[in-house]
Amino acid sequence: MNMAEVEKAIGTIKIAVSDSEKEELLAGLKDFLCWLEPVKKIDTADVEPAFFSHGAVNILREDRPEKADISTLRRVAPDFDEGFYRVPPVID
Amino acid sequence: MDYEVVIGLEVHVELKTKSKLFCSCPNCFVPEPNVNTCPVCLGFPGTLPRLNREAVKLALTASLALNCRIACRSWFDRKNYFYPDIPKGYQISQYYEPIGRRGSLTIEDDQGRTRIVRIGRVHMEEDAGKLVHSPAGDASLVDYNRAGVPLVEIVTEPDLRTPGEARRYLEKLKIILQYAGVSDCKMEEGSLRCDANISLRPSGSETLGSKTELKNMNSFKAVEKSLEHEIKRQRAILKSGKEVITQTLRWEEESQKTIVMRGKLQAHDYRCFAECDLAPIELTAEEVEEARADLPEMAEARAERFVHEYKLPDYDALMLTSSRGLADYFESCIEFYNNPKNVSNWIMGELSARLNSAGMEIESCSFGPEHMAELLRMIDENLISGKIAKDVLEKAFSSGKMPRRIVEEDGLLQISDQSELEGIVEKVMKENPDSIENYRRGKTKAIGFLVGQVMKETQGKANPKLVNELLVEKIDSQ
Amino acid sequence: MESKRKSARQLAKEVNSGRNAARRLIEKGLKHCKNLNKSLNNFTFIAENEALEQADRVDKTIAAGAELPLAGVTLAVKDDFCCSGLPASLGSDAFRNFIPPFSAAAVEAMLEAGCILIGKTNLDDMGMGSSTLSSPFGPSLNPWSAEHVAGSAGAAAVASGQCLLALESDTGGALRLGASHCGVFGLRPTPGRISRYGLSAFSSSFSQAGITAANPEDIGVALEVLSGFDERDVSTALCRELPQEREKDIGPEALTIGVWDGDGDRLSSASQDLIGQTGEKFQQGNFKISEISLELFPEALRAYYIVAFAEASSNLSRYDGIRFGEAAAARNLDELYEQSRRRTFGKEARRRSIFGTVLLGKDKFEPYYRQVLKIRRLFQEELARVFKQCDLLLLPVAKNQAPLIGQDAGFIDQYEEDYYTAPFSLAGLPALSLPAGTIENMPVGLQLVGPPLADDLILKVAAGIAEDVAIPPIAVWPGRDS
Ligand SMILES: [Mg+2]
Ligand SMILES: [Zn+2]
Repeated sequence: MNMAEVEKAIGTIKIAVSDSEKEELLAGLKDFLCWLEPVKKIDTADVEPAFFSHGAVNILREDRPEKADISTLRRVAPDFDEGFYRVPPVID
Repeated sequence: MDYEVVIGLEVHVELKTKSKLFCSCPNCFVPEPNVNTCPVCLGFPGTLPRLNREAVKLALTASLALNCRIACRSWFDRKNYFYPDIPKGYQISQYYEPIGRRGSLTIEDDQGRTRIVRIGRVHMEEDAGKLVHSPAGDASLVDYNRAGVPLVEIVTEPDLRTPGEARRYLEKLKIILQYAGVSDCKMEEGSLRCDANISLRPSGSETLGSKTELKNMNSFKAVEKSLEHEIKRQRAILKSGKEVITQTLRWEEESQKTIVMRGKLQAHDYRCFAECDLAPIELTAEEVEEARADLPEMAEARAERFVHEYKLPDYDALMLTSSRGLADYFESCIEFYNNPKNVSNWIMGELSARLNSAGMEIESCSFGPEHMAELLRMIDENLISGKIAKDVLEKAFSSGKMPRRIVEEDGLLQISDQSELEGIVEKVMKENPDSIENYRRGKTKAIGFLVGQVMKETQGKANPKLVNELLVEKIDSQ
Repeated sequence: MESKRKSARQLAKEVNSGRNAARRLIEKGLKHCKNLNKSLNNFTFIAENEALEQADRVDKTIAAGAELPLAGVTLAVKDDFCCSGLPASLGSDAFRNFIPPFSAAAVEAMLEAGCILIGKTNLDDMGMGSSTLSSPFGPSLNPWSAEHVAGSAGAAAVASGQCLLALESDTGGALRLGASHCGVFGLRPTPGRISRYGLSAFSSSFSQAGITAANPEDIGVALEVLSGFDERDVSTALCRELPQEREKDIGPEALTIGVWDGDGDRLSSASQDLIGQTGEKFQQGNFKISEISLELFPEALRAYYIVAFAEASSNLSRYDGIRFGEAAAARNLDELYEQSRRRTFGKEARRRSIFGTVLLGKDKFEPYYRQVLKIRRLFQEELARVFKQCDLLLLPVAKNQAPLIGQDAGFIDQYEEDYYTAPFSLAGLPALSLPAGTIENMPVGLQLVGPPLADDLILKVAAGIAEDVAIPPIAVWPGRDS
């Protein structure tokens, strides 16, 4: 683990982090990965990963449209104007 | 050095459901932004997705129509990235285990030979919202109406070799998906979207060259044009000994050029993992076979049937089945009026011309099968001439009125009353002695001119067959 | 006075029979709750008006001849559940004033059953932790001793008599540890028994709803109210297959309790003694006892953390300052994300999001994330073998009594606090924390764990021995109103 990897992860997950916290995160990550090390030693050859925490399959909803009360949704938006959610200008 | 072009297409198609993929919000276009939204499709804390049964059914149908192998167990994953048009910070998509794999579709290459295009995968996923710029330019505005609309993504193997093949693949794909009832596939309205991966390699080489991804093509024509443009660009780079940079380019319709996309999603690590908030989809072999048996009749089969059942020429059958809407229209007409060849002529002739000039699809046309049937019956009953019928069609097409009403209101009924016509025939004969002379000298064409004159006098309402008979009779007896 | 404390069932009975009015009870209860809260800090919000209105509704319903299973029973709900009309901080300072537009399925069910929601209880940073030390509202104090953490504010509220029931989330063990630290009962049911809809989960695989109460019978009534298929949460599909008939009366002699001493040296000798004593009590109660061991336990804890962090990095991505929460002033999009998310998350949420991102990265995905999902399967298989030898497992909940506040443990040491609880989150098994005794005058619980859907059996066994295991009366907090 090095600082570049920590910074890449911070950039990916988009949270502002101070330099001193970055240092702390790097040290913490090293400790954490070291703590996790034993899991690598378990022999899992031929074991299927258990992707799901539940055993449910084929839980499906009927295709019936329904309108929600949008007024309560808009009320909690930080920057909502004339029908739109506003964000800083995006270039693409 | 000569280069071989390698093209792969990723097509996103909107599924024709009533509600969104993971919530009950309506799946329909509304001009007002953020109306078709709810806590689920806005990603509110505590909400969970709920999978739409119909979307799964349509995705299965699409996979089968594209000859895919169906996964007996498939599931959804999260594709994690940040962009304002995705509300949860991830898109729910079938990344690891798509519902359909290893399908195929047959097209013609540029020389007219049959080519098989392999389809790598067909998977379900949710659409993103829409981002527009504020008029003042100080902000971007997000509309989540489309967020969570069900899509299938259809990915080809890199099997296409020319822009023409790419276009034909898309045309064929559109017909298949329309026939299967999966989607409208209207590229102009965004219910079919296409991204293209393209690279060049020295002829004979097995390894793929570095590729670029093309986005933002709004029509099949634009796909073809942008690929042509990109081939030229890449060839020039390679010829000059440089390397093509792997990047995403957007097609600009106005300038007919590709430009490099900034910002958005260049080379991402999406950190995909299984979406535990949903249950996997399991399908038994019986269920798959049942769905296969339920597949609607596809274009080729329908054309073949049209030839046998309605005794239509191959050409007519092919034209009429070129879209499901057209074929459905034809068969509805037949239910009201059983003269297939006549119906076919009028659909392919007059009606298609009207549709083309109005830029309309047959589905949204107000001149329905009942209109067509009534119009043709009136011709058969000698109530109107074919020429008048064309005018009536035009009027009915734009007004939606029934043809008989138009004929009545406008006094267009054909004159089949001999006594009424005799006077006009005699008048025309008097005014055109030269033509009568010509006719007598064996120029049979001259009679056509005289018929035309009578039609002119009656504003096209005279029964031309009767006029012809009267003229011959009178000249001969003179 | 503790012995006089009524159970939720007794109280509901009184309200249903008209001997007591919900309105009168709640007026008294609110006063007590508010007074205590000044010192304990268990509640982030006390819903005074809403509670009075709900009490009136309940009284009216009863007067109209209806019967409600939890009529007039006071309920505290952890602040990561949404209740429409009430603020839900979700464990974030930026969400103190957030009013969710809908209610959690579990909250709706409890209100329908006649509960009076008196308020929202404190929680760690974005629900991450089992101490409340990282709460933006400051820590909740243990009613047994103000120097110790409460573990979970809901457990502390039940223990101090602020409410009779608490609806809480349990991801790695917060609910169970809280129950242990405060001397009450806390059940994390089989995943899927209670709908998660409306619970803001940092881990989709592990965060789930559970119930805390002063006795196992009350938990049973609440579970009955809460359990059922909810089409908004796929995991509840399991309830469609629940046996209609309740467990037949199985006598203790027909049951084997597997006792695990929990890797011995991880525990203080006092804790070890407690297991031994409780095992003996089970034996005296005619249960069969067998000693078992669990090989993959330490790896299961690590596996839990890997999956939980990976999911946290994704589950918390919706906090972008666009549709809800607070938007930071920003010149560009990245700044909006980075600053709004900074404002929303505390230190622990930042750490878990970033660590989770690393663990899902290209080079770590196979050796960590995918590997531990395989370990999960192996661990589940190991537990299935164990449950062939015994019906239920008895083992520690916590390594010790509630930690002291201000004891600055490193973050990995804090994760190790979940040593006995998180592995059962990973395996997806029902687990009850039940009071078993005291160490240095602080309560300590033990865990009864069963195979999937053994929730009712667990509660029944706990009820059977509740009087035999020494449950100490809840201490009187010095600042407590009589
Ligand atoms: Mg896609
Ligand atoms: Zn919605």
